[in-house]
Amino acid sequence: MRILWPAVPVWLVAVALAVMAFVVMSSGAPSAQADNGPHIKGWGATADGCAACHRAHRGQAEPNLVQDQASLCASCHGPAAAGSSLDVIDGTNKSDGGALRGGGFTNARINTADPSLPPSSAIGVLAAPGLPAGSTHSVSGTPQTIWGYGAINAVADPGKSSFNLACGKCHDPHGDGNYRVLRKVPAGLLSYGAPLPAFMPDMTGLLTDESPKVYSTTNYWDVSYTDQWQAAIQSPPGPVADTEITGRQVGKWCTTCHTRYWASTGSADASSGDAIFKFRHTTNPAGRDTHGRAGPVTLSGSCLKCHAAHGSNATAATGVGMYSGSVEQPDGSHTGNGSGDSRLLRMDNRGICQKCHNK
Amino acid sequence: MTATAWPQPEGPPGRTSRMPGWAKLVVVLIVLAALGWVVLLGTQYLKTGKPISELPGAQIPGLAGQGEQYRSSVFGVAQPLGVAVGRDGRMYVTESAGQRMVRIFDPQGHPLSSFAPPNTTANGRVPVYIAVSPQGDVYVTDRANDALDVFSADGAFLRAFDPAEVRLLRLVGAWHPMGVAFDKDGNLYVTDVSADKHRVLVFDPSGTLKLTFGSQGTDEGKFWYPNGLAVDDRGRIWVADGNNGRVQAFDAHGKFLTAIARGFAKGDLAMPRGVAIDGNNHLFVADTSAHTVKVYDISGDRPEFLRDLGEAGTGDGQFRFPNGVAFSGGRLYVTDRENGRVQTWSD
Repeated sequence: MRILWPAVPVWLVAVALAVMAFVVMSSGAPSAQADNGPHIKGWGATADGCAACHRAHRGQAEPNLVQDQASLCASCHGPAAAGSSLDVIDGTNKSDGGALRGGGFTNARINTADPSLPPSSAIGVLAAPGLPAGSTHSVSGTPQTIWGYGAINAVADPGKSSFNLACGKCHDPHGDGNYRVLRKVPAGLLSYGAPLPAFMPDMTGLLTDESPKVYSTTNYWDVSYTDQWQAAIQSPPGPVADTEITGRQVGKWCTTCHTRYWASTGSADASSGDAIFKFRHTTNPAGRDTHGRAGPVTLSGSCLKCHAAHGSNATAATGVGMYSGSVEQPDGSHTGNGSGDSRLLRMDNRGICQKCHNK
Repeated sequence: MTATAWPQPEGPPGRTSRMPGWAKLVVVLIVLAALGWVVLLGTQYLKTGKPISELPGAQIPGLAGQGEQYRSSVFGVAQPLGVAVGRDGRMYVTESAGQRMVRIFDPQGHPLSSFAPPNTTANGRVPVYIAVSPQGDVYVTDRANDALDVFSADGAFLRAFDPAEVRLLRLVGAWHPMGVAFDKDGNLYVTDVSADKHRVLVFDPSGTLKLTFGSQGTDEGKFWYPNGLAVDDRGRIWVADGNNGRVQAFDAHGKFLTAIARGFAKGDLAMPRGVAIDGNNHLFVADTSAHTVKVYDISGDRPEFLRDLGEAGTGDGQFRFPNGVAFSGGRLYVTDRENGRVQTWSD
């Protein structure tokens, strides 16, 4: 039997083959990088990378850095992303255009006005360029208060004051094997070698995740859920493979600073005895999700369900008769009925409450 | 005793010896106008900054006590990254903060105008590196949009650099331009930081891709976030290999030749970003985290370190994260990112 092929011009075949070859050569599966990019453990005995950031005897900022941390980190992770695909200023992954789950310090891309409600909705991302961040974990180096740091206290104690937050307080740029190079204990909280105070969660072994992985916006903290809305923003949406890091662990990590926010199931109805942080939203569900529903521990609650770590573009209503923008800080201070501080929340006003409670 | 009348001064017929009141008023008005004009000029002068050429400079030499000296700075740019000089001496500077514009200054440092890609907002663009073609067009990489945009010398948007090969690269997500440069023949050199494909692309003056070399890695000839690049008279391509902390040189075919390495020794690099070459075989490297510009003699096959320009700080001739460099008309231009200025140095 003779097969009749359709008449296809030779030039068309040649062009198609050339395009296919080009695509194959240009794309290919991305190779897995060592975890944490250049911030890895084990530079070896003849390391030369130290010179990029340190001066042994001529440091201009602690610890022996060539310059202050925010400026130094922004050299690679700034808007130009000149040394990394992760632009933490605009909250964008420059490689794939995705949005960072931590938001951004200047702009963020969280769909904070998403009108959808649970149980089917995840918080989405905005197309670039996003919107100005209305609240941030400021790393400007100015003294701040760590709200809630310290043991339960019957005497009003809002937290640790005069703390200068910087990138390196939470992240270990040398690489410690932890996901996102997070420190087991944020720097500056304890003296060297001091034992963990009883009120501080022990993160030993909880974050370690040294498996090679490719950085992308789909490989961040696993706070994805299949049966309810997600706090995770990722582009494109979808489950992540990393099951080592759980939402509960994230919650525990955040409360190494904000210790009195670490609250077990039922804390909304039982007094902690603290003068300020008396009744609290659950962050330590112990085998249950944030709302007390039974489920695998790995799907437990997470601070990141409600908050962005770096900065959020959420807004908080201000003006007469509006509440969100004028909520006082734990020490009672506020800037009046117009602060507009959105408290790093992922939704405008207090929409984050409605995502679960839908009153 | 009788009173004696004083003699009256004589004058030409028809003219009085005393200035009439209206004339005095006119004179006063003229003087006031002149004063106002002087004040106005002075105010504008202060607003626009002192011309580079009129400033004596702080006479801060390189640390080795020779060579280029700090002359002056142009302020008013928000975290500048890239700098280039046009054929007429105009300076183009990219901003990575604030309005994120490309700002144009005249050769004396006066601001002229600014420009940005059409239909973009401040937070929707990040102009980074910049180069002027032999024809005078201005090429600007935009990290937010993975674009290489082309503008006229006056800042009018002409087109996106988008030949067929670039369109194909875009299709497969392999077009993330970072640094940009021209050689004397008008060939265009672009560093690309696409995921796992850090490399250099060379386009001929018609825009046809003629050469690609390098890949992501740490070995010789590979790159880890290549940034600025420049081509010398011998056709060698000098590439700032940022995260590898080195500058690598390649021949016109992309073959690795030599490198300036990372380290603590004199002349070693930390985190190089911008590179430029003058007409005397001097290579200038903005070593961003070392807060200096390093100068090398590249007349031989291997670069020879000459001196550091500047040091860390905020004063005259000091840097906080220098990033881009350009050399033109005997002047070295350096973007001083965290100090929000462009410094000029010259012999």
